[in-house]
Amino acid sequence: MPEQLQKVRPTAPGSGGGDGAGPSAPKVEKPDVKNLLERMKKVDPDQARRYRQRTGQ
Amino acid sequence: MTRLAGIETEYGCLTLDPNGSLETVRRVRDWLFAGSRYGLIDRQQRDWDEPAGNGGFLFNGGRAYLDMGHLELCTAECLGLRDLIAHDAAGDALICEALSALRIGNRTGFIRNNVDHYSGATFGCHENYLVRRSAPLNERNVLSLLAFLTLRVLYTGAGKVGGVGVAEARISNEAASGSVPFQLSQRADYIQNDLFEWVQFNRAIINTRDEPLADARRFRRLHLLHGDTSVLPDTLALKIGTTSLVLDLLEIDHLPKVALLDAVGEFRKLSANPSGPWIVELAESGPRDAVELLGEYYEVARAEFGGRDAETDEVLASWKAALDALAGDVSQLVGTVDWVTKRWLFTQFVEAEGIAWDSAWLKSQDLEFHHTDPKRCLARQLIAPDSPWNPREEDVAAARSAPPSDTRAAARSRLMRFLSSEGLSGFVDWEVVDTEGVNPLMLLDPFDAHPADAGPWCEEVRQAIRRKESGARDPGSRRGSDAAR
Repeated sequence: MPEQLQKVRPTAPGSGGGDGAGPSAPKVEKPDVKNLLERMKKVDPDQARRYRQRTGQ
Repeated sequence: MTRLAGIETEYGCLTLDPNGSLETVRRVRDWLFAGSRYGLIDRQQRDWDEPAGNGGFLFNGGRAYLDMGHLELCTAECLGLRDLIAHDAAGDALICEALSALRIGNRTGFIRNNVDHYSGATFGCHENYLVRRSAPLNERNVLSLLAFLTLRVLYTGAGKVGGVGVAEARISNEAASGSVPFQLSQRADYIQNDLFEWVQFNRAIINTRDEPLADARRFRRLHLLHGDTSVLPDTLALKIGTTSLVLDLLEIDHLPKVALLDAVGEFRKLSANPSGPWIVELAESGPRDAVELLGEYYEVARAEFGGRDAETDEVLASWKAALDALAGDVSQLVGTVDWVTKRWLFTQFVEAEGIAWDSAWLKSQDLEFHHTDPKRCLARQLIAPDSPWNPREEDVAAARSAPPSDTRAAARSRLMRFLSSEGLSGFVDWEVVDTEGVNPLMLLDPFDAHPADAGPWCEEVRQAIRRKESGARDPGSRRGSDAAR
């Protein structure tokens, strides 16, 4: 293995360190999207029709 | 990460400019390189489809160029995952800066997605991972890698409104996603094979092109084109971070023994099933839960690499949280995983406006989700407030012109600035820098930010300049010298 691939970096204090439990999924407060939904109303309904792209890779 | 990674993003262009998107793309490219603002434009033809002036390297270590009508930006070779995320975001920032400077931002936007919903055209976000040449790529490991790259769509998919028709996907009627209202992946419909070398029309989950852009005896490059362009920073971190860990397992020959019966078929089926449960067929043992299989990769990676370094532990933590949510309450990934976030937001929009999932308006919202302008991008408004991967604004700003400090990109950047300061044109590539009058400088170790022969090479260039200047001052001596040959 190239030496760089084996480079060991310091572990941050207090990090999990692979103790097996791992963090549980965060309790996410769902964002309030009222304003975002209002903004979405202003999106041009036809902009995807104008988005004419060539096939790339 | 303990390996180098980089990504290539093909941007779509949405414009009201009567001259069309190609002219706009050229203007943005030209602005980036004008007066060596952010990089050096190629003065020589690079390939048959890359004539002189088509693009060039950036001082931040990346590249910008036109590819099949798209503006394509490549990040520098990055060793740190946060560097990669910042450099990816810097690409968007450069585009937005160009549009603002050109005063066309009010009628033009760039979109970091992978599909044209109407024509069926697709364009990619390719991932590149440096892998040591001696990695044991036997059948068992390749099948396990293939399975992981298929299953990871559960947390890497960008989400897409609608399916794709038979003709565009070049697949059978049976396999076409057709009228699917929403799917996990933008690219799944366009992937035809598990292993192949083409990058168009017969795309594969693992692209077999072996072009290391480094010492070919030490390294190979894993080139992936089946992934979506990530929008949320946590999705990008999960995509690159977990794939890098799985490649770490490959290199020590510790990949779990997993083989899908039909990886391409499962990729499409997973993509077309946003509600789960996600059951896949294994080659030897029948149906299995896809999240549980991903958990096997996680568990081996945690056992092998947990505690190795802070970044690895952060990736493992994000990976575990994503798998827990996928196995339980998927909506916990709002603000973290692209497709979950898009589906959650669009469901509310569909209900609020009373529209159908095949509405043209929703396809337009799909573009807005991927907009490069942070003020317009729907996804950016939903980034989890405690996201561990959201890049700092100052890091993104710096990454527009500064390379990662710990990879070859730093050396290349310094050499480019040297050539620029001396008023020289040169040929710059990932692993070589060349200019007139000297031998090319090879940069074959992509981990080497300070190659020992870079300084002497610059001195040789200066001497070549002095020889040329002295020849120009004394043209008689040069004629005499030529005559003596």
